[in-house]
Amino acid sequence: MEINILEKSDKEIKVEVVGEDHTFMNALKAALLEDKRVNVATYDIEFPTISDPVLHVMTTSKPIPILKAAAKRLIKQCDKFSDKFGKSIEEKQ
Amino acid sequence: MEIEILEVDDREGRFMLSGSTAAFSNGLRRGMMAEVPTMAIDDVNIYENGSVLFDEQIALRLGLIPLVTDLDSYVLNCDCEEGCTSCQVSMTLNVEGPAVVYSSDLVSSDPNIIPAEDKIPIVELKSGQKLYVEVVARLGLGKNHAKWQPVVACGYKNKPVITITECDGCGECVEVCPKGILSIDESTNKVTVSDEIECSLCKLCEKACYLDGIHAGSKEDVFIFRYESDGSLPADKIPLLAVKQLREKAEQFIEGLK
Repeated sequence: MEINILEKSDKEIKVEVVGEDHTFMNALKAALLEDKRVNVATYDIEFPTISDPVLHVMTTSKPIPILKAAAKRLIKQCDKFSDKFGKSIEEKQ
Repeated sequence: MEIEILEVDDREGRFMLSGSTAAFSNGLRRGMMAEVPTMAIDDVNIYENGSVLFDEQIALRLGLIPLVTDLDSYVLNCDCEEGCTSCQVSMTLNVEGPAVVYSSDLVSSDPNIIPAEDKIPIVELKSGQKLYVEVVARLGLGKNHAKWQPVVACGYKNKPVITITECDGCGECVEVCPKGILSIDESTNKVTVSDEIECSLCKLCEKACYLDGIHAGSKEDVFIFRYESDGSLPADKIPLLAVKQLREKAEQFIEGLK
C-alpha cells in the first residue's frame, strides 16, 4: 500500500492512502477514534471515482505511532473475528 | 466480540455478530462484496456466432456465469505478462443448433473450475445456427466488475429489540405485524414475541397500540448478517476471506508508514 504523507507536524498529520476506499478507511477511522490521544480523525475522498482518500488526524502526541496503534487494533479485531467465526462454524457442523 | 451462526449451508449464511462496531461490520460487508477474489470469464474469442445475439451480448452473458473458484491454485496478481496456468483457465464452447446453449456446455481445461450452475441459458440456437467460442477465465475483484462478486444480497441489520411495557391483550399489534412474530399468550392475556430477530422495525405495532405500550428498537452493537453465495465460493468461507483482506490492508498500512 502506497502512503503519501502530505502534511506532518507534532500534533497533526494528513496522509493520502493510495488505492483504498471506504472499506478500510472507515474501519481505520473508527479504530483511531477509540484512542483518547486522538482529537480529530476523518477522511475525505474528494471525487469518488478518481481520488484517493486523504486521512486527517489531529492528536495530542506524535501522530505516526498513534496511526500504527490504530491499525494494530483493527488487526486484533480481524483476528478475533476469524477465530470466533471459525469456532462457531465448527460447532454448527 | 461474539459470533453466533444462525444458519449456514454451502449457498447461504446468516450470523449474529455482537460487541462490534458499525465501522467494522460495514468493512466486513464491503469486503465480502468487493474484496474477495473469484473466477469469472474475462476474455472471449468468438470464432463463429450464428445466433441472434450480438457478439458483445454473448460475451456479457458468459462473463456473468459464476464459476467454482479454487483460490489455492490460482493467484490474483500474476507476474507473468501473457497469462499462465496459475492465473487463467481456458474453456471452449461449441454448440450447433437446434439447441439451447447452457453453461454446462462450457468445456474447461481445469476440471475444478466449472460453472457453479449447469442450467444457465446463454442463447437459443435454431437449426443451422452455430456458436463456437473460446474463453479465458481469470481471478478478479468485485470492485472492478460485478461478475467477480462472490456474494449476492449481502447485508446486515442491527438486532431488533421489542419491549412491551403495557398491554391489555387487545390484539391490534398481532394483526398488523407483517412478520407474524407477535401473539397473545392465552394464560396471561398479554402479547408475547416469538422470533425477535425477524422483526423488520416497520413499527406498525407501535402505531396500532393505543396504550403506547409496545416499542420496537434495536441494539447498536449487535449485527445480524445475511448473505448468499453465487456458488463460486462456499458460504462458510466468504466472511473469513473478507476479514483476511481487511487484515492485510491494515498490515500494509503499518508497512507503508515506515
